[in-house]
Amino acid sequence: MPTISPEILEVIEDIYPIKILKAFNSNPESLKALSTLAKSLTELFRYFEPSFFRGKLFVTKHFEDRYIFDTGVGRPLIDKNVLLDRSEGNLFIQVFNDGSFFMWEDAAPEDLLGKGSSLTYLFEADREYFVANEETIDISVYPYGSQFAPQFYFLASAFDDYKLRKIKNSSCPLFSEAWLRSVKDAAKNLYYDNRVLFRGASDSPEKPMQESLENFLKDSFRGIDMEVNREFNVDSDQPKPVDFRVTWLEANRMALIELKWVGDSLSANGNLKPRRDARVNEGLFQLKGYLDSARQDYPNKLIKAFLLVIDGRRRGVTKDSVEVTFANGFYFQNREFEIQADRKYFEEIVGFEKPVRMFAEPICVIE
Amino acid sequence: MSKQVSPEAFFDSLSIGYKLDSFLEGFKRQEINLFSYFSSILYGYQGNNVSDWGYKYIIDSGGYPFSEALNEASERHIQNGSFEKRDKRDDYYVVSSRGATEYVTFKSLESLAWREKFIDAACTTNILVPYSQTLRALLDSPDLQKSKEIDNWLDQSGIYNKISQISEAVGVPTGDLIIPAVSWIKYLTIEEDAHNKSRNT
Repeated sequence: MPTISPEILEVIEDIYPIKILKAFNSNPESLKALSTLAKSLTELFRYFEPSFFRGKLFVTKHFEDRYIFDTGVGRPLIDKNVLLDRSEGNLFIQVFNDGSFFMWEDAAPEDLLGKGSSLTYLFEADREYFVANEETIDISVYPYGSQFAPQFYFLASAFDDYKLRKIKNSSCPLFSEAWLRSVKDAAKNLYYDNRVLFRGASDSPEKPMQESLENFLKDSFRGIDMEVNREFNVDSDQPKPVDFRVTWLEANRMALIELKWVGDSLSANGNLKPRRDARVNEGLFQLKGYLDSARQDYPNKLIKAFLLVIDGRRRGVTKDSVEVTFANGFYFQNREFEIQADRKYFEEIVGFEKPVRMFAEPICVIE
Repeated sequence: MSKQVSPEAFFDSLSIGYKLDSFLEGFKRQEINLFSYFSSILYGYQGNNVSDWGYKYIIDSGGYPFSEALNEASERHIQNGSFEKRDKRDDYYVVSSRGATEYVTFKSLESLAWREKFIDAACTTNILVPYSQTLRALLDSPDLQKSKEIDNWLDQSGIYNKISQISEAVGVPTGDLIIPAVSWIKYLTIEEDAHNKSRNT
């Protein structure tokens, strides 16, 4: 049996459970504390979204379950719903072997971190650490939030993936149905397929776009409950529900996703309809309404709102355009939307994300 | 009269389902098999004879370990309402409140309780290491890859020595299974990355 190389062992020794063990001079209690803490964090984060939090969260397991602070100034954490709206300040939570929790809001971190018989998890400024016997071990894996509750991060990453793998080159067969394919040569059954104009009424592009995103999300996520709005009456004055409502039942999270598109569509009767920044601003306003309603309807859920915008803008197109030059086709590739000052909810509202723009590239011709 | 389900497989599938449901938002039936297999590796690593684990595995067409005993037990949990399908359109199950109560009851039986530490260590890996990494490491591991070529029972015996080497090098406290479990996943990840790198150059 070949021996494992010292180089590999060195990398293995760098994993944080081993660092914690070493920081506590191989005390096995530190590993029991780690196991309890990790399970407790997944439970706490059902009520607390770290990426919403701008303060410091300390979660501690004492090896012998001794209280870390004076119990007179803290309280048992029984109804964890009190954590739902916490977005700042210092929060200290102690976890116990029997699965119970105790919480303090006003304590001195330096008193806690100096204690050698306890392991503390610290979340601060979108970074996460274990503090083990005065050694601080950075365990951050994702750019924001926590690895113990990565649902929203995974969703945002999935959007990046979707943008690249499905939309950029219209690689998703469902999404590619959104483009207008004008007849090139009827006798030979040939069509232009240059992704210049979207299909227009009565054959709207919303349906294939939604089906494409729905398909992708279902393949990407486990255990989600997804409600998809099937109403495509976009020109109606009637209010419609948000396009996608994704719920993680176990993790107690919900994402509202509104899908819009910008570009030019050509209706069956030959009307060219351009959609530009106004459509994005309208989408933000709509999404704000959905978020407000959802927070009223689901006060115990951790909710994030996402506006996804498929960007098929081309410069200088007419209703007869079947081809586009590189200069015109890619004119908007790196041009962000102009968001009205009173629609920048993402700068003010916790959980309201910046619009995600997904540019769908054309196939271009040389002038 | 319905067939007697193996008590070990009955308990293991319930315990693994309960844990995966809590940590990962539901589970697939293949994952019950995979984490049971990982638990059996940890059982063997601690010096036990793996033939005493209670059931054996082959490899299925998707590359997952598969035990007929676990499969029958999972069927029984579905029939009994302990496992419920979350959505008709996908393959994910959750443990119902009935299943959770049953798990707590069986966990207290002495004849089964000893299995819990192996299952707990295997499943806790999913919290301490990102799940996608754990899944990839286990499914792409050389022992499973090799088994795809031979139609036989899976043999875990070649693995224990390596886990022991790692444990000895990093100084694992006696009885601990968390460090052996996460360091084994890390080891497999390093090996697979190196293998992929050499294949691409």
